Amino acid sequence: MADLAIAPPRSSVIADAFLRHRLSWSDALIWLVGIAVYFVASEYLQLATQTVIMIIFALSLDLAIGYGGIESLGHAVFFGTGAYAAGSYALYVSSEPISGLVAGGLAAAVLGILSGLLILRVRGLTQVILTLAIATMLLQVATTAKSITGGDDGLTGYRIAPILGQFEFDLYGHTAYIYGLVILAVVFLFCRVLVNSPFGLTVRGIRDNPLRMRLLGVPVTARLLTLYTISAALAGVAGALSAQVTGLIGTDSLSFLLSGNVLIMLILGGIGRLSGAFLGATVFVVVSDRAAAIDPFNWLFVLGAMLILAVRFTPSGLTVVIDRLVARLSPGARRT
Amino acid sequence: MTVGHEIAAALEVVGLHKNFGALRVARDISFTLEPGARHALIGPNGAGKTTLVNLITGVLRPTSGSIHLGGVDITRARLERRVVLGLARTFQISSLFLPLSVAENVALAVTAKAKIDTQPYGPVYRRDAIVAEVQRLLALFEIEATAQRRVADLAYGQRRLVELALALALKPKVLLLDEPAAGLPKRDSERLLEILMRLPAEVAVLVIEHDMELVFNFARRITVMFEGGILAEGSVAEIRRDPQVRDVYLGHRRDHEMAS
Amino acid sequence: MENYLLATLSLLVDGISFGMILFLISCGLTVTLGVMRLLNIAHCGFAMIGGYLALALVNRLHINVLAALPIAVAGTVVIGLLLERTVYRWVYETTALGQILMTIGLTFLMVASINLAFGSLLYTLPVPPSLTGTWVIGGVAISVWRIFLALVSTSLAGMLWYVLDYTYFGARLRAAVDNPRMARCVGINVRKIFAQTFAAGCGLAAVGGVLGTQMLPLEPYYALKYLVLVLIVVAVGGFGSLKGSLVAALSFGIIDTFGRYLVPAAGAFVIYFALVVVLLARPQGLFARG
Repeated sequence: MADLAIAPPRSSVIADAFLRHRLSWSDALIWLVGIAVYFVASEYLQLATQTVIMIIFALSLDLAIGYGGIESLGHAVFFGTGAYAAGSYALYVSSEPISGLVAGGLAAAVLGILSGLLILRVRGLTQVILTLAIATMLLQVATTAKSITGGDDGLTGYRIAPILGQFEFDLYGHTAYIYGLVILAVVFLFCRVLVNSPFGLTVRGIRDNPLRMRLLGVPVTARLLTLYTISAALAGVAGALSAQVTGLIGTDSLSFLLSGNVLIMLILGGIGRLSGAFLGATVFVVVSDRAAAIDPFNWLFVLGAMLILAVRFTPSGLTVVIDRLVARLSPGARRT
Repeated sequence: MTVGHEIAAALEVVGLHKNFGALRVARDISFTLEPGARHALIGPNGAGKTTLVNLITGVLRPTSGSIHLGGVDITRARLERRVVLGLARTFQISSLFLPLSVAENVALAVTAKAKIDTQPYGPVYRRDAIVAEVQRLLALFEIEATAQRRVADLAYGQRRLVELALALALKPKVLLLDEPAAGLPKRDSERLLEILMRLPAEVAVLVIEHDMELVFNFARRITVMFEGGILAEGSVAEIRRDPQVRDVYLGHRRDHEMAS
Repeated sequence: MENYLLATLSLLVDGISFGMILFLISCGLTVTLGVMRLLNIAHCGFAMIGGYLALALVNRLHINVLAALPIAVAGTVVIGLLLERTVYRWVYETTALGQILMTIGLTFLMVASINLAFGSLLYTLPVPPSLTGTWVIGGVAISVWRIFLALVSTSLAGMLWYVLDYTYFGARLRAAVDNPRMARCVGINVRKIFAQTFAAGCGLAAVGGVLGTQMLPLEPYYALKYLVLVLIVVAVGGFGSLKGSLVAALSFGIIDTFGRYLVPAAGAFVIYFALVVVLLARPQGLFARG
């Protein structure tokens, strides 16, 4: 047995050998930009709020795909479920917003456990197809169950009380934006703690070599189910947030298009690194808004071309491209 | 550690049989590893060594017979359960987490053993217990310098050592080394032997190996397998003297030469 | 009692014709998955392209659907081959997730192009006058068109079988599906076979797209809307198994038709439920290889 008295001091060489999501100047910059938008670009606050919601959604997907290797092409299911749950909660239970977010997250988490039990039994293409099938099934249910979801007309007519009884939602979306930004900060910090933790390391291990993880004595499916449920819950929070700030939930919040879009945001920004969600969602929402404003019908042309070119030319995402640029531009930068 | 009035064998295999239909790939295999054993399993290709490894680790289920690990019956236990109970192994073809760093690879085993792999809080790199244990293991196998490198970038021999560090991180009762020297050049295999000699004394080690020099220098007892059964068992000196063993090996060599 | 049986017969014809259309649309995807492990999300788009080409021919030239069919199919094959030579070269080189994304992108381009050319209205192609109407047997009406569809698609499937089982091309393709690496080693040009199969798959999908507009009406989002149906057929059948796809497509058509008739409230729901059950029992599909 090792003698405790001569146990080596904590080694920074070893500690530095772990992937860590560091808080750096770029994080500070992101939040500065986030706050600056509020003061400088107040006419774009609705768009900015939309961006914030999509960042949360993309973060949730990054946990599942980027860290856990669970390939989901139906993540909108959790977003939509969270949205409908929050809407129904506001209609029938309470108009208090924070508990509404929790309700949305919980509803999505329950669905995450149920669908996780199905999709985690298979891997690869079958898993992709199964996530898609489950999403389509739920879309059918939502379209049929008009009494709960309002069908194709959407669910609306609910009111959201002031946040903490203090801050009333205003027409210009000031409150909504700050509210979203705070929720994003909480979700981001949560994700950061999660991916740096032993659990975060474990799921990355499962992503890279599930069989070997079993042979380390780790119950692989149980760990992935936990991760998938967390991811679902966060997607549900994003959906709930969207329901609260827009006051309308349509069946498109469950659609394949949304699942595809959030995947695109993630790939665009960079997978398996939380900053990717920020960059990808921002670029996507802004470009899609501009393109749709110029020509709403042909926006899909831009999106389709962007997708093909992005996968072809920046397969590891924009954040990596930016990292490389920064490394090249800063003199004396370490070569890694 | 408290010592009970009766010390269970680290690994006890009794009357193990495995049939694939009419094909009998394991016939009446019995042997025992005491705690701290240094045991080698040898035999010509096709003797059934890999089958035996698969039976012990739980990849295959035996047709009859029993396997006990530290006194617990694991004959029908699942892979993960065997690991939790104290059975660790290395692989012929290294099976690691290629995109992760060496330290992360070892830490995966450390956190799994400490049952803190579920903890969602507190960064791994700020946990002194994990970092210190990773450092200890890397130092033991002289691969501290590679800590920050991705396993995918390591040479073959170094990956073998990472495999060993992972296995040992599980603090096993029984460590199964599946051809640790296969494919290593002479110099590396000598260094490997040196490192294997440093394995903790209390761990029972079962090594499957073709490199006879390594086997004779490392093991204290040897089991020789042939055609799915046990041909001989004894100390290194006994096995070296055994004419039957020589026949099997020399006969095998002769067949081999004639074929080529 | 007799009426009951006849109603069942009528539903069965509907189910089979729907299933066979689905099979035609999905069989190309099954093979590309089997040979190249390529999940071509855009595959359903080729059925859509075929359908719209026929629509253009019928509207502009005022010709019969059946006359437009071969031209539309040929056009789709050409488009398929062109894309295979260009965009899909990139698709082959990327990761599994990248393939999905790239082909989603291609699907978006198809949807946008169709929308630009034809607008967002729903279209069905007119049934040729000679095949309209119904046969009335013992008071139960069976659509002539549906019977025609079932016959045409069944004979196409039969031809497909003949090509696969009795021709040299079929033998090489089967070798390539079975073990692409080994096929390469024995001198089979897998890339070329794949390109030919890809084009054939596009053609068959186009047949399904043109003939199936009564069940799967044309609209720009066709490529995405029916993608799930096609993926289900392929997943349930097992990647690379044409027999599996046929069984899955027929079961799908029949279960869906009966499900909608017997439990209208559950509607489209029945089939997804069946899918989940099947994939739980056999995660690799019904006819998965090894």
